[in-house]
Amino acid sequence: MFKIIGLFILFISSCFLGFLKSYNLKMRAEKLKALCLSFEMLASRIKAEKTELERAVAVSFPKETVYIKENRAIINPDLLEKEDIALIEEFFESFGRRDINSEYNRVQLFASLLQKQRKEAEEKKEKLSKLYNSLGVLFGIFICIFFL
Amino acid sequence: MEGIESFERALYGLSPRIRNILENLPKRVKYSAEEIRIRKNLPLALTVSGETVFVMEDSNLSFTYCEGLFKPTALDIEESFYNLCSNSVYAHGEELAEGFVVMKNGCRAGVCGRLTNGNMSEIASLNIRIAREITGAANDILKSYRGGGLLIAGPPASGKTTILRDLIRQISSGVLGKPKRVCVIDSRGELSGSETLDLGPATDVLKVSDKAKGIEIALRTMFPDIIAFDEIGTKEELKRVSESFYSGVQIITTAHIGQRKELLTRSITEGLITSSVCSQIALLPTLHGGDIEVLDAEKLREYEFCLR
Repeated sequence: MFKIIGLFILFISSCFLGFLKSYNLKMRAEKLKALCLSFEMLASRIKAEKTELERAVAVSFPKETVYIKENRAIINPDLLEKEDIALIEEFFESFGRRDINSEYNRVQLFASLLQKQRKEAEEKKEKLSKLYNSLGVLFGIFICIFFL
Repeated sequence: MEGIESFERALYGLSPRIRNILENLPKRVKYSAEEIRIRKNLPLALTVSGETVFVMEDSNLSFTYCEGLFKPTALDIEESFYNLCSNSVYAHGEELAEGFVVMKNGCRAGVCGRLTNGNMSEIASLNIRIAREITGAANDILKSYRGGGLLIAGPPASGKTTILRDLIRQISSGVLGKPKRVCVIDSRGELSGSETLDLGPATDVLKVSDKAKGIEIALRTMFPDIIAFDEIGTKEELKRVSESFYSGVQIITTAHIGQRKELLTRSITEGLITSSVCSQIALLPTLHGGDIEVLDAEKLREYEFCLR
C-alpha cells in the first residue's frame, strides 16, 4: 500500500518536473517577447520625448522585470537564461551616456539582439517543450516499473 | 540655513570624491560660494564673493596655486557630468548644444568640452552656478517699482536672476496690492528650478528654449498681467516684447550691462527704453558694493538726449 503511494508520488513528481521544464521554456519565450516590446517603447520614448532614464525605464518596462534604483538597473532574473541577463546588463551599464541618435541606435541594436534570443527561445520551445513533457511521464513510468 | 542648503543641494551632481571634499568645507564658505569650478587635472576651485579660491585635499581653502590642492581626475569629471545629466545625456541634447545643463535643483552647470554638430563630448570642465533663493532680494526695487515694465540690468554675477525670482514671487503674492498673474518664460530652468523654487501662487511657468516663441504662446494662451524672463538678447525677443506691451501686458526682464551708459548704446536695452516697454530700470552694482538704483526710463532718455 505504502509502496504504491510512494510510486504514485514519484510518478507525479517526475511528470511535474517535465511539465515545469516545458513551462519554463514557454515562459522564457514570453518574457523575451515582452522585453523586446519594452525596448521598442524605450526607443520611442527617448527619441520622441527625451524622457530621462529612470522615468523612461519605469514606463517602458514592467516593474517586476526591470527598474532603476539609485541609477542602477535592477533586473529580475526569473525565467531568463544567463545570456539574456548578460545582454540586458550590458545594455543598462552604459545607457544614458550618449547623444540622442547614438542612444536610439544602441537601443535598436540591443532590441534586435534580444529578438534573436527570443527567436532561439521560440525554436527551443517548439522543439523541446513536448519532449520534456513526454520525458517526464516516461521517466515516471520507468521509475514505477523499476521499483515494482 | 538656506544659503548652506542651496550649496549642499548643488553637490548631488558631483562625483563622490568631489562631494566628500566639498561637504567638509567651512559653513561660511558654503554660505557664500557662488560657483563650483571643476577642471580636469586642475585644482578644484570655488568662486566666493567674486574671487577664485582653490580647495585643498583637506577641504581647506587657498588663494594661491600651491601644493596639496585637490585635483579632480577625468573619471571625476565624467562621473559628475553623468550625474548632472541624471544619467540621461540624450535628454539634455538641446542644452548641451548651448553649453550648459540645468540641474534638478535649478542650478545651471556650464559644460566645456568638444562641441561637434551640436554634441558635447570630451568633457574637460564644469562650472556649477549655485541657485540661491533669497527672500527679500527684490525689496529695494519694490520700494520704487510702480508696476509697469521693468528692466533689471547689471554686470555678470550681480544677482539679476536671484532678484528677478524674488520679484516674481512677491508680485505674484500680491505685494503690489493684489496678486498679479505672472507668466514666466524659463528657457534654462534657472528661475523655477524644476519646480523646486518658489515663484508665488499666481505664476505660470513655460519652459521653452525659444523665449520669443514663449512670449507669443504666453500672450495667446495664458492671459498674464506680467510676462517675466531672464536675459533679453535678440531682436526677435524685443519684437515680441513690444507686441505684448501694446497688448497691455507688462514685461519684466534682465540684461547684462557693464556700465550705465551701455543702457542706451546697446541696441536691445535701448529698444526697451525708447519704446517705453520698460518704464523703469533697476541698475545693479557689482557684487561688492553700491546700492541698487531704480531709474525712470523717461528721465534717462531726456538726460541722454540733453547730453547728446
